[in-house]
Amino acid sequence: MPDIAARRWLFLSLVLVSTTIGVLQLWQVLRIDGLNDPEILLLALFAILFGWISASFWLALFGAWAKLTGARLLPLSEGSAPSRSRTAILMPIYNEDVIRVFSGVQAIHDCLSGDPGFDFYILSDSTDPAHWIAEEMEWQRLRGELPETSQLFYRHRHRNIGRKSGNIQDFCENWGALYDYMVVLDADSLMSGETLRRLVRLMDANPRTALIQVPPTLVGRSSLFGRIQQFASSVYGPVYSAGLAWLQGPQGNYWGHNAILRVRAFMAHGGLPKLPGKPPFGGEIMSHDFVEAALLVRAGWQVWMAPDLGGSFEEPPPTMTDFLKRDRRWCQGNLQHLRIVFAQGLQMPSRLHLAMGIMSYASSPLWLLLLIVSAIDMGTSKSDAPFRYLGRIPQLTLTVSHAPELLMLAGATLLLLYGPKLAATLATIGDRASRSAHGGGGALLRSAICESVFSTLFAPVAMLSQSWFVFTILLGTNTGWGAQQRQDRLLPFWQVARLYWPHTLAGILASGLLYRFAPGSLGWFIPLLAGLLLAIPLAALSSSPGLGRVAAADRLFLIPSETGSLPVLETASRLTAARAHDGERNFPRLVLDDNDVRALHLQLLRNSPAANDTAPERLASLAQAAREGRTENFTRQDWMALLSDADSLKAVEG
Amino acid sequence: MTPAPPRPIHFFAVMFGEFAALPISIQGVGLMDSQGFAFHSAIGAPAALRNVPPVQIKAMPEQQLVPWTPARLLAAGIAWLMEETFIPAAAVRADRRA
Repeated sequence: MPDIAARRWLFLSLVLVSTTIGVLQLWQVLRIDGLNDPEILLLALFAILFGWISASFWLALFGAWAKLTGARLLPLSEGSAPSRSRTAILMPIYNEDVIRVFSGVQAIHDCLSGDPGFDFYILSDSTDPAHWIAEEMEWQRLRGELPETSQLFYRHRHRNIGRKSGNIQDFCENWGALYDYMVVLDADSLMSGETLRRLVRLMDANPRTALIQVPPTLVGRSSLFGRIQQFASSVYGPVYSAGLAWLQGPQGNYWGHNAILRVRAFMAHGGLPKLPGKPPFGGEIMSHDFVEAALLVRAGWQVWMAPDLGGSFEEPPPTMTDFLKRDRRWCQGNLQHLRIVFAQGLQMPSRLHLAMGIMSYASSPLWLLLLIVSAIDMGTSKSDAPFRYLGRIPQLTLTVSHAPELLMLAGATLLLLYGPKLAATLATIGDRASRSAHGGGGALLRSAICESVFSTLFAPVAMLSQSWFVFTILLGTNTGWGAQQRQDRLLPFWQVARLYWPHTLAGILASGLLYRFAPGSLGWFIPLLAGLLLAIPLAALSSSPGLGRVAAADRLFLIPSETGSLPVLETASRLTAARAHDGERNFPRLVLDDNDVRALHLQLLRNSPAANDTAPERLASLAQAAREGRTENFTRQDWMALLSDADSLKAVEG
Repeated sequence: MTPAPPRPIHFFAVMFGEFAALPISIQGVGLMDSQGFAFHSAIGAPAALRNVPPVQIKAMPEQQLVPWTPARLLAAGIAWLMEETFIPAAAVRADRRA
């Protein structure tokens, strides 16, 4: 890619020029009555944040340009001969919906038509005994259903060292030597057989490539919140991915799943160190994917993104609450990169990826600070020099508009925020196949408008939550490793109210303060205040699968997987639906009551003996209680201790 | 022609035969106690059931990642300040021909 340096310089120049123009414009307004301290702070914050949204705007514009001109975003040749490489498809899981996981694996297997070049590994880190036993049973069932030539392996790790990255490392150290490539999936991700085969051919033909990331499209949710995200990902996502691919070239990034990796390269250069110090900034690296990509690039390997390959899917969080819970984890992981962004030897694009991740979360408290400072400035400003009326009716609330410069600035900010969405929507409308896959031009336009309204209301809620996350992380609070909730469900109102009352209270307080001290500026803050004031109903209603279906019936937020047929998704959802009734059994108890389940469990324990730290006396007492059928008071830890110890299970057997 | 009846074997003869293998039997009982797994396959799962391929252990080396710390940044800053500045030599113009 000889012209990649020119693209990067052009991008940087455009971001710098637009930011400089914006900052100068604001400075023109603020300097009239002299710059005071809050105004200097305001200008500094504005410069950072305007630069941040300009970068996002130009990235999307570059992406739109690359797509319009048909630029080759992945300039790699593909091998034509049948591949003789061995690829492991890895699904690391942690207390996930077992039926969903195995249905996904079966769907991918079916899509590959039992291609012998691919082996499947379910790499379980589950700490819940019910999940553990259900996984073993489901593995045995699926193994029985697949042809004998298909290889489906299951491994349960008894100690979750290093979380997900440790899980993958454990695979590499034990079985990595058997494979050329590995495809890492997430519990909710799917990839089509054709995409997997193409990835292997690309890796075969490009021996300097260590990783190809296929950006996943969001699919599979029926809640209103999930469907809105899916629509945004389907319409706006490709433009951003194309921009990123066009700028990063062979020094790309890794998103942790839906990617193929060269095992040899990863094993030689992807081993993560522990950072000195304690969490949240020290210890295990939480957001491992960015760092692994940076290490591979540092070692001279190529890391690519393939936005045009398609056939890569994952599910979004079903509710606002699940979204923000995930954000809390990602926030800590990205802020931890503050320790790594200046680490020795990394290449500049890798540092930029890390910095962008940090800025995704650091921008929230900066926005909050900017809003507070600007409100204070508006409230305390004595000058009325740059005062103009808007329109012909002086009684309008918006008569606070200070000057045409400010209006232009507000217009420019709106353009930077909504311009990419508009461009992506128009590009989708312009493409006949894509337009009809999204329900037609009218439906697409209505959906884009509704999505923009929703995201405008959601933005201040996310800003406040993320600011709180950053604040607590800076104070040293560590997040745990909780399983993700991936089920569509209507959140109970009281639960939502308990979580979002601070947002509502902040909205009420801010409205009151603005009304009291800066009534003229209230109009400017209405979109922001509305989001905060409506946080509770917004979170509750958007979690509704019923409303999601109503929107679908009204042709709102339609995506290609809903209007057309995608085999891997259809197979996965059909298999999940067919086996959904199996979810209510007492799986740990089955080990005691069912000889076959116990035999299977003991066999798998024998193959991978568990390290059990429980005292022998405690184990003996648990075994005695189990033998007498007194397991109703067993805790999760009791079950895990008993199920991890073959001798105790044998004692129960009597 | 009727087949010959099976040769009668005296019960005690069988029992004495087993006595000869008694040490092995005792060892077997000991193994049943200490390595119970070996006897479980008969219940349900076949003995050949493998959930993972045989391991081929190969360690992943931990990468050197020197993170940013205030001390390191300070040290780097001081080193940069104390670094010998390169002063280019004055340009010499050849006014005269040699």
